[in-house]
Amino acid sequence: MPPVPPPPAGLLELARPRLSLVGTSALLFETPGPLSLLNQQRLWDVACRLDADPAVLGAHLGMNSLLVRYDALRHGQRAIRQRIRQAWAAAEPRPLNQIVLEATVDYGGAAAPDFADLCARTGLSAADVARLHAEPDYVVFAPGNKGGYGYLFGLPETLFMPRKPQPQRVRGGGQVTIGGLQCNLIAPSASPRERLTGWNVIGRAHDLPRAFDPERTPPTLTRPGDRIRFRVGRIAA
Amino acid sequence: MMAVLETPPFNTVQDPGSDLARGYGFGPAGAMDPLALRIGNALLGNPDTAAALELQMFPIRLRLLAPCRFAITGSARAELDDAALPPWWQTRGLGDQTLTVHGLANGARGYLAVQGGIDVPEVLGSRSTRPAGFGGLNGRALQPGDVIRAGGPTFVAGNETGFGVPPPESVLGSASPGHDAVGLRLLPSAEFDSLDAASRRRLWDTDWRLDAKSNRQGFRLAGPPLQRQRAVEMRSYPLIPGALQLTSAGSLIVQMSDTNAAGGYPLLGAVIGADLWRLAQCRPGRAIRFRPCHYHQAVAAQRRLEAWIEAVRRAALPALAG
Repeated sequence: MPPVPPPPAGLLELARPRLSLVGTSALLFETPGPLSLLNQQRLWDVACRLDADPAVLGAHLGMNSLLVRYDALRHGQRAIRQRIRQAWAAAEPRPLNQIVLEATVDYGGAAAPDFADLCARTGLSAADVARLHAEPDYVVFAPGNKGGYGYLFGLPETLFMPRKPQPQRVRGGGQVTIGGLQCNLIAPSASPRERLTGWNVIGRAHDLPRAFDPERTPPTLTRPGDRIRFRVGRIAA
Repeated sequence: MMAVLETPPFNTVQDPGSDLARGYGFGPAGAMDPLALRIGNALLGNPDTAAALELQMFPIRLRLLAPCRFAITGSARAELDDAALPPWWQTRGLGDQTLTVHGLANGARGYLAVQGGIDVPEVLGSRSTRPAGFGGLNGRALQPGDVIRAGGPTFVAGNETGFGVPPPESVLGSASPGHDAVGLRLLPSAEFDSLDAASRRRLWDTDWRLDAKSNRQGFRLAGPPLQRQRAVEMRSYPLIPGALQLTSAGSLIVQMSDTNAAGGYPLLGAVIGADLWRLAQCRPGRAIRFRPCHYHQAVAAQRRLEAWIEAVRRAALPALAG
């Protein structure tokens, strides 16, 4: 067995649930403790409860966070804070769904420039890092960006990697990326547009199904609670 | 019905945007200056949700192919054939005329609203054009040859030259801190306290300059770097237009209409909803000063803005009935 590096330092870890204003008409709720599956399962339930609350305009999932929008001309922020706290206290963890996507990932090489850094950070071999990364099933925690597969949870703590100080350009999609303890699979894009990401690109998957189609019902392939499985393809150190 | 004769790039169909798309990983999109869009719609008796043209580059020339009623709001003025129209104005065209819209020096975006709203399909709750290539008119910016249709009836009866409203600065105040900078009221969010003391002061005391690398997705602000007391890796959270974030390099970004659905830079605060129009009308190089604000002041500012829109809507109705 490879040596186990120290646990990640410098991660946001709140002692208590945190509620904070985001402008005039939204509150951000963040769960305490480390990034956690159980807390997210409870948040899925909180989101459903709040979406059904007529005082709430929308409850939108993040990674162990929930943005709650409301009409500030009809409801005081104290009342909304109270409703969020009550929903969190009453929340029952929602179950996980099945595996909806399996993807073979080529780790490292020119298409994944940060894989070598990840290996160096952990002190592990390229093969060990790839195996560690592909070992768990990843859970879609929250909708992704630009119609992707969603923010993924499941990264082993050993593979923690802070975001890059300067964003890098990626093109074409299929990149497997790490931002802190979060993982992402960038959706393939038909458009030649580059996108910027501050996350580390450690691998690339090919032949992925279309993540988003506005004409499809539902438009996205994945939804929160679904799982994604990676398989190790080629490895280039 | 109007045909686009001539347009620079980056002019699009926008409505207020919609949070329905968030569930699929897209931000709300929508007009950068929500106030100018709503006043344009109020002047025409349209619902708040009607779509209009957001004009970021000028001039744009359109041919009126049929009678229509339209409004020009935001930082723009128009000519109908040779007749100059005042800014923040609505009037009718009888057809077979050319409408030319120019930008104004003091702002960044103008809106051309038409009675009945612009008729494009609603995608994920909105008629706004999205950078991902869907929504609006065929998922892209306007091009010469495009035809704009109204989604409801037009009332052009009577012989009138139209009517307008004073610009919002004269109704809602300038919010300027007393020198040549735009004042924006900011509500601090949780990570504001993670800034070191000197950075917290700098946030309020600096004239931030809107960087040229700013667009519908976000505004970059040039100024001294800010530092947090301790760098911690954040979890990603949902974003809204007006959210002020600190990048890893220590610079500031304000998320705008085409914001990503979520992001992970530390959230320092958010520009209050009632000041988003002031921000949207800043051009690159403009100085911006953030001003601390209490929650009740933000709500009061929103009430004032809503009351003005409602007054415009009420005043327009008899004139529209002819």
